[in-house]
Amino acid sequence: MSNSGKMTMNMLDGQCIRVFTDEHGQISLEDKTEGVLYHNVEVILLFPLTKRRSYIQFSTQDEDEIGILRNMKRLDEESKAALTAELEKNYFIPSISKIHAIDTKLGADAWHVETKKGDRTFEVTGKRRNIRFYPDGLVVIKDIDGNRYEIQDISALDATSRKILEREL
Amino acid sequence: MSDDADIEMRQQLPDDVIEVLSRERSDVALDDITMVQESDLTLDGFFGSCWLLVNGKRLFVVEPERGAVVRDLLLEDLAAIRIRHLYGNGVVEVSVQDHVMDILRFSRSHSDDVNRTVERLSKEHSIHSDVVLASGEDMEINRCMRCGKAIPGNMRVCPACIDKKQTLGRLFHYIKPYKRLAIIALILSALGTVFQLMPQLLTKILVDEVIIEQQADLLVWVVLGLIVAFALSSVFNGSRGYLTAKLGQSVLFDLRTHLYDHLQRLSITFFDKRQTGAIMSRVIGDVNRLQNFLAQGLQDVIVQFFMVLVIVVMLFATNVRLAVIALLPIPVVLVITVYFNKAIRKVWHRVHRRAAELNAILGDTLPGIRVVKAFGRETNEVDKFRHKQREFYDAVMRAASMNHTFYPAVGFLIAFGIMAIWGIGGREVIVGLQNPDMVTITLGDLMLFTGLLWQLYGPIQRLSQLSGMIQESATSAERIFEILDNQPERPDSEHPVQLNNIRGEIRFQNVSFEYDRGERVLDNINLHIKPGEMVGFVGASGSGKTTLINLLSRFYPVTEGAIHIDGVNLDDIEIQSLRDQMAVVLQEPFLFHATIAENIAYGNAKAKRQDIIWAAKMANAHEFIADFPDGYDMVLGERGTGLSGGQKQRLSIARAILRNPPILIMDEATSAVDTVTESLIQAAIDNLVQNRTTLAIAHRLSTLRNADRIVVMDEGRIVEVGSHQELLAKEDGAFSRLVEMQADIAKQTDIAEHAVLGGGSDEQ
Repeated sequence: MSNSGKMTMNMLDGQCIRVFTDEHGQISLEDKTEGVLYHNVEVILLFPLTKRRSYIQFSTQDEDEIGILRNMKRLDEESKAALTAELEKNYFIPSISKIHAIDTKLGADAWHVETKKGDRTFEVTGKRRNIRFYPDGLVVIKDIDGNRYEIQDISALDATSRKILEREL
Repeated sequence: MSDDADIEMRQQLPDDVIEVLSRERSDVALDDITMVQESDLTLDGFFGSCWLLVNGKRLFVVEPERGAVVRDLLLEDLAAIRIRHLYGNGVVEVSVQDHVMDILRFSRSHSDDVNRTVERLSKEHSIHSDVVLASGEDMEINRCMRCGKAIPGNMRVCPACIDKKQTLGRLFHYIKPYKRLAIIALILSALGTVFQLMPQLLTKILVDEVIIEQQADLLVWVVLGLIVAFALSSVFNGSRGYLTAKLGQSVLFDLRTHLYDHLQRLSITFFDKRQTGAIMSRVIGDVNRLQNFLAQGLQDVIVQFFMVLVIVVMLFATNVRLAVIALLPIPVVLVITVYFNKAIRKVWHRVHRRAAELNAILGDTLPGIRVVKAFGRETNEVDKFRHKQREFYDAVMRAASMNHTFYPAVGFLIAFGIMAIWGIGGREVIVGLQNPDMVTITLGDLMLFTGLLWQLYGPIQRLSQLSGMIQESATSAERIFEILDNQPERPDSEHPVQLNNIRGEIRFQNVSFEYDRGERVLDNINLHIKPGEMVGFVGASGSGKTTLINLLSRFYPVTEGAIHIDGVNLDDIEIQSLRDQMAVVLQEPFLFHATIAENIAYGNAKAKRQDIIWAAKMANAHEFIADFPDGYDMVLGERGTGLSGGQKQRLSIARAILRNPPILIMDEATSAVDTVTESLIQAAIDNLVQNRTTLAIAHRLSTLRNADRIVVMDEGRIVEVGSHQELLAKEDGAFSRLVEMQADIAKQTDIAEHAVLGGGSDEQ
């Protein structure tokens, strides 16, 4: 059994790797120093809510860890674009920009919101469990289907939205 | 799929999708479409509508808002189709000529139906399919299967789909045995109400007849009447209160007993799927809520209803015109009360949430106070607490300010009605007094009116809270009935075989098992265990060891194959007699809140004291029991608190020894104890396994030194069988590898333990 990934921390240097979509349309990673090519890798955010573009772990499909990239700064532009696209797909957390209304019906709250990905209505039950507050005003809401929505900074919301939200909390 | 279903399916296609398809692909006939799947995300990850359509040959993806067919593929080109459930959304991917391509993106709201569609697509067109779950994501369904509406957490019952009439009707089924009681209580509340209002009527007589008409001789009768009215209303109301309480409690008694009785008979599967806490909350919480309704709410409703009815009738009987004026504010009061109740409920919910958060802080930090102190976090904890405390304070004060605004305001509104009566009625009384021909209303009538109006206010308030209360009780009732509607444990076959004094031969024949459809946990297990043999089962967690044991206990039915005990098929054996032949020593010994002796004798009511002591001795438990001041009479806390882990395990072994069954099942009896305790337990086990068929699951391979045979399992299959020696001799065998690994870990833990703790003892 290989323990290399589990016991050590392999930080990847952005300059030494290349992220790209291979000829099969699968996200792939090249370790330029070692000269190794990993096809169809898993891209995992270690802090999916509080750090969207940092601490990115690459694993093989067998869940063997390849390494962790702290941030995208030193990546070349093409890699950056490929990685960003993959993360956009893997982690869908539309950001709420405006709350139109929240009505409660039969124990579930229907949120009518405007997100950066379009308008949406979703239902939330169990506020204490499914509305989470993070530092810097970040709020993450999980609806009954397991979809996530975020409010990036509660204090940056418009007054009406904030009032509606505060009434609920 | 039938043609009708096809047509119906095509009908759900919105016009814009049809329009785009017929414009962009005029060669495709709408009638050939056999499969449609809606999605709420476009391929580039925006909310919007997107449709997957399949006819016999091709697959289309249409984004109507873009007015485009974004994918058009030949089904025969699809080598594989895969659903990836990602974070907050999912993707359907297909492989076309070695190239992977997204064809549909969907939010998790569509996870279920996309799964179904892809499954169907893969089946009907034989395309290899695959579902990938993002790690740690559950596919819990929180929507009502019937109406698709959200089901509030911990409810599990869709409040919208409850047939309130039917549910409450079912509740009345429990009242039926107490029909007489219910009717008497009803009559008493009617009488009580009438007599409660009697003093108002007598006041009218007092004013009109005695004072104004100066009929002094009537005074005695009025006073007597008053006394009688008070006395009777006290008697009626008192006995009504007692009888309704009795009624409510009797119904609850039956319901609770029925529920508990039913719970004991439900199969393990039922408990697997639910948290114990959730079940307990139903038995306690929901029954309590029903209790509030049956014992308090129901009688309240009836009494208040009579009250309103009688008062309104009396008002109209006295003077129709004034009655109409006086009642004018009531609809307004009703409407604002309903709104207020809705708003205040929200605020009270907030108060409860804040209180729960406060409690959570206490529950977290007090048991962990060592950690708090060790990390020097006391000040931070106090700050955190103060902050939460402030939020709680704000929430409570919000409720208080709402309450103390609303009730005086409503009082003021009601007072309007009364002012109007005083104004209009008062003028008419004066006119009537000055001019006896023009009497429309007497002074007594006026006083009766105002008195009755003040009395109307309370019942109206109570009744306006009714809908919320009925809603809540109906939900509680439904949750209780949901449990009652679960089928009890698999019933015995029609002519069950009684097992008595069996030899303990067990045979697994081609046994396979799936908890959920398609998820094979055991795959074609064949194993013959001889009477008296001890067989150890090893393997990684999830390899199927425990499932195998659960099947033998008949907690679940086998999916394929059969299990025979002494040549009898397990399914044909009477379940009680089957379990009489077995004893179980579990990984987490389950002890009850009872004395040590009772715990050892659990499941063995006839055991003599001497037998109990013998069993404890054989289990190496006697010594520590004797050391307790209360000895065998020591009462254990819930789940055996007050004992160390090793002590609990030995009690559990003693329990099995006393039961003396031909078949013994052990699930890792020695884990997480120190070496001394382990050897004590090992010795106890050696005593226990003698002369009986033993199936032992162990993570510590040393436990199995004495096993006759060891079965190594991996992913639901048996990979190796043999004695300890035989298996060790196999170089690179699965067992050898396990032993090697454990030795490694043991070495490391030993080093760590010595470095940090210098070893520790589990004994108290």
